[in-house]
Amino acid sequence: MLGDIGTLVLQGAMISAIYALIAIGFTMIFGVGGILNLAHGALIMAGAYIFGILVRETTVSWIALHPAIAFPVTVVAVAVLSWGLYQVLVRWVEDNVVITFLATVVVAVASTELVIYLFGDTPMGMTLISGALNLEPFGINARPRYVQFAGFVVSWIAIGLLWFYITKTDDGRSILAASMSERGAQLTGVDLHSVRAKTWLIAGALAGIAGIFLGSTGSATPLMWLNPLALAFIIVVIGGIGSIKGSVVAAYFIGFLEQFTVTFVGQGFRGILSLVVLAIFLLYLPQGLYGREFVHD
Amino acid sequence: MTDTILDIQDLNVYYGKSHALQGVSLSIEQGEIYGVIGPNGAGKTTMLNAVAGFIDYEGTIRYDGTDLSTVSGREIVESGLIYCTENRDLFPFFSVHENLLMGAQFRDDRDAVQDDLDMVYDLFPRLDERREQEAETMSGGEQQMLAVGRALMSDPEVLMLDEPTLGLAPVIIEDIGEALTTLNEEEGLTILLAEQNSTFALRHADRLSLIETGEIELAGTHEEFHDNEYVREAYVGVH
Repeated sequence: MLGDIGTLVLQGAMISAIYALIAIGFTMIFGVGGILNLAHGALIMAGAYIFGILVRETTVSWIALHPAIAFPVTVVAVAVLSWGLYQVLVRWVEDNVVITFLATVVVAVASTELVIYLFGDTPMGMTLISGALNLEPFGINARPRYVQFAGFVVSWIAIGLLWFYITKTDDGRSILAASMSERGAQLTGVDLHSVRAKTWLIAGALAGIAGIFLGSTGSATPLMWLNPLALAFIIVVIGGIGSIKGSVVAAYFIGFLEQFTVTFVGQGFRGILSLVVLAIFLLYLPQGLYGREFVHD
Repeated sequence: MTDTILDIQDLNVYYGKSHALQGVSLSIEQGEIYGVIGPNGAGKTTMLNAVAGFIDYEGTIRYDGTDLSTVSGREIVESGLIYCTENRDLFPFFSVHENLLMGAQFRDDRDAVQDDLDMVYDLFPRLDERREQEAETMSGGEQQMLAVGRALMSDPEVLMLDEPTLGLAPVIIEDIGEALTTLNEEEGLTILLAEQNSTFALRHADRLSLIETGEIELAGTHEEFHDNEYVREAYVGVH
C-alpha cells in the first residue's frame, strides 16, 4: 500500500509536469488570439520525431547528435515550426473562427499522413537519458526512470522562465495584457500580430519539450498527437480557458487522477475518470478553476 | 498664427453599404480643446477609430505632418497621439498601478515615467488610494480616471477622448472636467473630445463641431456654439 502511494506520487508528479507544458501552450494561444489550435498535438509529435531523427544513428548515421545538443535544437525547431504555422497560415484566416479551426484540423490530420509517408507507422523509439532509479531499498516498489525526473525538472524550469517572462518583463506583460484586452493593448501601442506570433513561438517551444519527453518515455507514433490534444482540452477547461496558473494546477490534478486510476483501478480506465471530471466541470463550473485571469474578450 | 497638429481631410468610412462618415474635415490646433458633439450613431467614435488606425478609411489624416496611413499603431502611440476609448479598454485583472505602467511600456526615460506617475496620482487622488486594486473591481468613474491616467502615461501630445462622461455621476464628471482643464492649461495638452454630453463639451472646448449622420453640420468657436439657436435647442436643452 505504502509502495503504491509512493509510485503514485512519483509517477503522477512526473507525468503531470509534461501535461502542464502541453496545456500551457494550448491555453496561451487561445487566451491571446482566441484560437483553438488543434494542430497543437501535431507540434508535440513534431518534437518527438525531430528529436528521434536527430539522436538515432539508424535514421541518418552522420547526424546522430548527442541528446544534450539534440534537445535544444529540437525545441528551437518546433518553436520555429509553430511560429511559421501562425505566420504562413493562421494569421491570414484568424478573423474567421471556423476557418481557423478547420485549418488547424487539416494541419493535424496532414501531419499523420506526412509522418507515415516519411517514417512508416512503426513506433520510433529514442533515448534522452537511459537508466532508472531503484527505490526498492526505500520500500517503494517503483523504478522511476531518469528521463522522467528530467522531464519534471525541465518542465518546472520552463514554467518558471515563462512565469518570469510574462509577469516581470515589459515584453511578456504585453502578452498578458493583450489576453485581457486586445483593444487596450493596441491603445498602449502593442502590435497584436507580433504578440500572437510570440505566443505561437512559446507554445511551440513548450510543445517541443513535451514531445521530446513523450517520445523518450514511450515512443513516437503517427497518431501520438491525439492523446495530448485531448488532454490539453480537458486540462484547459478544468483550469479555466486562458489561465496559465489554471493549466498547471489542472495538469497536476489530471496527471494524479490518471495515475490513481492506473494504480488502484486498472490501466484500461486511465482516461475515463478524467472525462467524468471534465463533464462535471462543464456542467457545474464551465469557467474552470481560474477562468478569470487570462480571458480573451 | 497657430499650428495644426491633427489634420483630417475628406474622411470617408463605409461599414458595408452604410456610409458612416461622409467627407469629414477637421483641423485641430496645438494646445486647444476641440469638442465634437452630436447624437449617438452620428459618427464621432468612427472618426476617432479612423484616426487611431483601427478601421479602414478614405481620405487623409495627418498628425504633426505625418500621413497616419503610413505608420504603425505603435508609432502612432510613440509619437504622442493617444486614444481613450468610450468603453475604456482597461486591463481588468491588472492593478491600477500595472495599468498605468502599461501606458508607459515603450518609454525608456525612467525618470520622466516616474514624474508622470506622480502627476497622474496627483491629478486623480482616488487612483493613488487604489494603487493595488484590480481595475475590474473599480467604479465607472474610477475606471474612467484610470483610462485617462493610462493615456497620460504614454506622454501624449494629443489626447483623443471618447465620451469620458458617459454614465458617470455629476460630481465625477466635474472631477474629470477639472482634470482636463488642468492638463490643457498646465501641461499644454491638446484634447480632441467626442461627447454626446453637449453641456460638458461646450463648457470645456475652445472650438467645436457638430456631427449628424456622418457629416459636419456646424463648426465654430465656443462662443458661436454657445449662441447658436439650433445647438441650444437640440443639444444643450437651455432656451
